[in-house]
Amino acid sequence: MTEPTAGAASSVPSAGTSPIGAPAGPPDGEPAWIAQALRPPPPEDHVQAAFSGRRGALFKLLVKNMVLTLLTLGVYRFWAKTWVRRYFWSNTRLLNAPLEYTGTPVELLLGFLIVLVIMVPLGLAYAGLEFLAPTLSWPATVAGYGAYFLIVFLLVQIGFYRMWRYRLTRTVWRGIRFGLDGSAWAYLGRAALWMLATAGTLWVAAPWASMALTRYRMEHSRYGTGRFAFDGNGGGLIKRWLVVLVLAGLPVVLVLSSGAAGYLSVLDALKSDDPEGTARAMGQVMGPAMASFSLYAFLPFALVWYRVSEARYVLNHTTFDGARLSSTLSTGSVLWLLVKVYLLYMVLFTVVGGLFGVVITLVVIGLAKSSAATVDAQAQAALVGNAVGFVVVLVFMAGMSLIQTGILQFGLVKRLCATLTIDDPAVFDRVTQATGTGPGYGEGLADAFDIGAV
Amino acid sequence: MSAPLTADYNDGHESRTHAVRLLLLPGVLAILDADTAEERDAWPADDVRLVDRPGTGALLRLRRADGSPARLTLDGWDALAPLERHCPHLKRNTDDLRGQWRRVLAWSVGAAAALAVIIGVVIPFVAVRMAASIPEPVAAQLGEVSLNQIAGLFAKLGSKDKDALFCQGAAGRAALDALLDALVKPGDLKDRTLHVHVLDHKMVNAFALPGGQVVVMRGLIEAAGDQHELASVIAHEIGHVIEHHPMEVTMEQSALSVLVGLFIGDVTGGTVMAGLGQALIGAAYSRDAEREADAIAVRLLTRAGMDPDGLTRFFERVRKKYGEMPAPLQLFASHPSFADRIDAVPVARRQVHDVIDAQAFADLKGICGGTATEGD
Repeated sequence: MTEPTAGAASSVPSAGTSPIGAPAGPPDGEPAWIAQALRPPPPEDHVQAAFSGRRGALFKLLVKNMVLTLLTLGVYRFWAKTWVRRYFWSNTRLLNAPLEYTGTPVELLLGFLIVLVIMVPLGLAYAGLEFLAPTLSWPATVAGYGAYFLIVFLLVQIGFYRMWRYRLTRTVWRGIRFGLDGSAWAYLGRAALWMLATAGTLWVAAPWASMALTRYRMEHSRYGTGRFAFDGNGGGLIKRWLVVLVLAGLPVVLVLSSGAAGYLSVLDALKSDDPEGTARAMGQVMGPAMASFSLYAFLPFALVWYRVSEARYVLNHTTFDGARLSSTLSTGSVLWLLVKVYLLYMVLFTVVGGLFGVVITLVVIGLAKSSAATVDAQAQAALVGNAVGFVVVLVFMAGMSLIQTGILQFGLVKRLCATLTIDDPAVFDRVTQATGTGPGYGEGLADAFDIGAV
Repeated sequence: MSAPLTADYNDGHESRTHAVRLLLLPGVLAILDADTAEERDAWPADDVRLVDRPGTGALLRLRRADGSPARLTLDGWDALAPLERHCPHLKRNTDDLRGQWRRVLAWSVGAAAALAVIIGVVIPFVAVRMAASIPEPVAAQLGEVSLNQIAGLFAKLGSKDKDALFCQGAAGRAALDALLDALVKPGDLKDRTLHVHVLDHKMVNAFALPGGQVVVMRGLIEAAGDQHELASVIAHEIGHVIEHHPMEVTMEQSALSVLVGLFIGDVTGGTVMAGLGQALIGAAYSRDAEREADAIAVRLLTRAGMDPDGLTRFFERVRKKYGEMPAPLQLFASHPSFADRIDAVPVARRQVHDVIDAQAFADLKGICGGTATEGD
């Protein structure tokens, strides 16, 4: 048998329940129970999703991608993205069957070329705006930048929806394609309205906005003929979100309230021309202000805690044809990963900064020595400087990509898979292939705005 | 035929997985149900392909070349060798381009043509027409920014302070201003202003920036044999200023960097304004732009009673002294139009006289405080 568990799930479909992930109830038939007991145990029998990629293979792929992307002035990035996705998809197993990414680089390239038609005029318009901004009256400047960012916001929403559609239609599992119905424009309308509602309620409505959009996406997601559903709403996250909001808003409120009184006392002290009194009054204002803003040190942790809760909440409220997903992803494990990533970034910045220092020193020394003052010698020194600088940039970019994809994304996918379960895996056996293969090209807008990690 | 291969089979219609045995028959891969031994499917051996490249995942997966969603999943890669012997095109992976290359070609040609039109026609057309109508404050600000960038660059090269980089010798400055007063009359620049800076660097070069900023390097002043040579180089740069050429180049450069940014996948625009100043040092103006600047230079020089032949003599001198011409100067050194322009000036008007005296010219050569060579 190739995969003991997958084979069991498929060869005994009449049993109704799958041996993996099924509740450990009393066995309903002796022979099946014995057969199951005699089978070698699956590696981790409660795990229904697993990520089995080796990091070494990914690192090799990332370095190769980066070199080729630089050599081709960025054109290779469509190939690079595709190979990285194939790595992640192929190494992700659900119920022991791996995912498959069937998208091609050419589709991404086509998507990019098509989107250039929109992006070139937009980019030129922005350059023109930057150019003229110093001479425009402030309402005109605000209107100009406002219009630009509004257009970008709308395009980003459409880009996101099209990206999900492309990725889902290019994801195959057990020979069946995923899919996304619905329309990017309907999604855009909802996103815009919820954006207004969020801003209008001083971000209190943010969880409702995010969950409403999640519902639209989930309820239009398919696996073959089976459908996903979502029964969560912002109410389930509001308590945690309020903690984040209070943490972010409290210092501002404190400073404003204590500052108003303090400001008056500073003014009084200034008027009475009393330097000591002024200093004391300033201290009374600044002390609480500093103390309040030091609360911001906790904000990143609160945000991670909220984002992890949100991810867990979304998964726990998602069903597929009646079977419920659940996740036990913990804040602690994600936080530890992020700390590691942060430390690695610090190391990278230190190394690259040091290298740059060395290069600049060498070039300056070289220039000083070429006192012959010939233009040629200067050009040569500049050339050497540029070449070495290029290598340093290369090291930096390789480091960034290794950390971003090889550590962060790798770690997140691994943690997400290890904590994901579904209560009735047999629902998948009833799914059949749906018609329609999705768009013929992919993700141009997402590429242009650099959204979506890989 | 070796030991039977076992696999999981998905037929592409149902999500249910079937345990199967694979038989490598001549020209065909037979897929038999593991329990009943009934034939579930048969794939032509020529059509069998790997899903993943070896080394990607722990499982060996097979698909058909026709794009059907049916899949076979084998545990581990042990079966690769027998499969490879049996299925000749197992590792072929040309599907990426097949059936799509026409579309890719069409879009690539379309995009290349659009880019060519934008770079070659649209950007210069718009830049030339817009440069003259850029309001003075914008031009002035851009000029300041570019000048600052360039000063920063040379400050780094010479490890000098940015402010100490511009030569401020009082007597030299007065001589330079006198020379400029003779060359430029009110109305030449309309309502715009002209700022001529001397940069303390040995490079033999001069260039114009937006906002009427002209930079002359110490090296060029020292290389000039007489005031007519120096004045003709400065007049040429003033010609660029009058014709808005630095602004045109600035606009073209920023539009180009937007395009390049899009192409290499950086739309944040970080590359747009950075390096603008550097681009302007070596700014290659078009032949037309150089001709326009030459025409103005000859007009300014003859009106001031100075020798427009100075430019030609200057280049002769630089060539003799330094051998090959520094790249930025080469372009405008080899101007056939300049000689023509001079020939077009009536002989009667070629009454050449000095506009500043010998002492003032010596002061000008020493504007950076160094011990300038007294003529040669």
